[in-house]
Amino acid sequence: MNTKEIIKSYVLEKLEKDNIKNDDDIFELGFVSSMFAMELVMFLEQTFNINIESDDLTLDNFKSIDNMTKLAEKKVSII
Amino acid sequence: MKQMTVKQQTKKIKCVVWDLDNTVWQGVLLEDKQVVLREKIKDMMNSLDERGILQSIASKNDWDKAMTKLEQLGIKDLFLYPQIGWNSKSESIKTISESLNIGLDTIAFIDDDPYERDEVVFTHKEVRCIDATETDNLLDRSDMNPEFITEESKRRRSMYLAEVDRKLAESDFKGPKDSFLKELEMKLIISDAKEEDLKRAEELTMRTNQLNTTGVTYSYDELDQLRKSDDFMLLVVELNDKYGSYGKIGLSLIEMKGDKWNIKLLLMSCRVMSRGVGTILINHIMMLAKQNKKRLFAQFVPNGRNRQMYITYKFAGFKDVSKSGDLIAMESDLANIQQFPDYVEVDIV
Repeated sequence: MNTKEIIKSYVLEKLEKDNIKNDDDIFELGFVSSMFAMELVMFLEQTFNINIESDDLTLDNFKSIDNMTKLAEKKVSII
Repeated sequence: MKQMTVKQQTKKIKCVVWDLDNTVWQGVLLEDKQVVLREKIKDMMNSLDERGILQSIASKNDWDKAMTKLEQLGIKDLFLYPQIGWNSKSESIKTISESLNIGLDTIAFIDDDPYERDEVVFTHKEVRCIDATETDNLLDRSDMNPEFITEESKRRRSMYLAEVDRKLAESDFKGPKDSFLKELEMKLIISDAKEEDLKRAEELTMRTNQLNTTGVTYSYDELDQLRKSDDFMLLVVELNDKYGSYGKIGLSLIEMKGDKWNIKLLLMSCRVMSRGVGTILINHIMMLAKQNKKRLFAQFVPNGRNRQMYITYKFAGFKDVSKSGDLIAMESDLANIQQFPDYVEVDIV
């Protein structure tokens, strides 16, 4: 699986959805609890072995599968 | 009352873990014809319970026989997550610490057998091991005397028991997580702190590290002044569900100066970690600020364990505006305020 597929399968499982579009805004799909936000950040950090810093923690970076993929790929390439 | 700032050298005990044979009772259950409770042990256990100190068991024993005996002795309900079986006691204590979500450094382990105490200390050096023959002064130890005994302390065990029921129901539940949350019939009450809330509020600032935005502790008197001041708003949050009450589990202090509001403190008990309370509280404050046409700021001080609160602010749309030392100042443009989730009824009092 590539980065996008890995992220997508995680998000689908967490949101209990069968499918969403890669550019869907997940924050508009439902209430995002702080627990889910934390899990999302930890998941990206651990899966891709990256360090998400304060400047990366914006709603925009996490709002869709596309944007999370971009963030993860940008961070991986820095290492 | 003097302001309490620095945490004590030795942390207060939150849970006492008892061995059974020759510790809780005299004799060995599987060998002796009869075992009897050790003298004064029941009084000791009841006193701990009233102080809000939880109790559990780590015993190498037969589960059914031991539970039957505990029931006969009328003490079975005192213990949360009893570990009775043939695991090592260090494993049992780790399980208890994880199930209760408390640190190993807040657990005391009482056993008559020096081998068992050594085995536990070898793996978890932070657990305080006590020889069962030296428990006469147990209740006088300073680490067995909590700073506060509040309504919540006295009800702590029953609140944890309700949590056991919740977890069981959750693991039996087959549908999606949101539907389970709906099943809980949660009711969140956000209100201005009243005088009777202050002891608990003080306790919350002292006990909560993980879900705490600044880690600043406030004394009863300070909180009372803040509560009465026109420049501050002090909110307390209570959570109930069909299994019972969690009690007062959240607190927020907001400074109101001119057109600027500043969230100086926002915290909640770890017991409600996955219930969405933090996000609801932040969104409530955002709504209030917007209605009153104020700018909304928030403070955050990292303590190594509270990153979740930082992420909560960030995902609620707060942006860093400045940093001085450890203190990060953030502001929200109040553009996106999330509606409360439909699995919880929110009452603003």
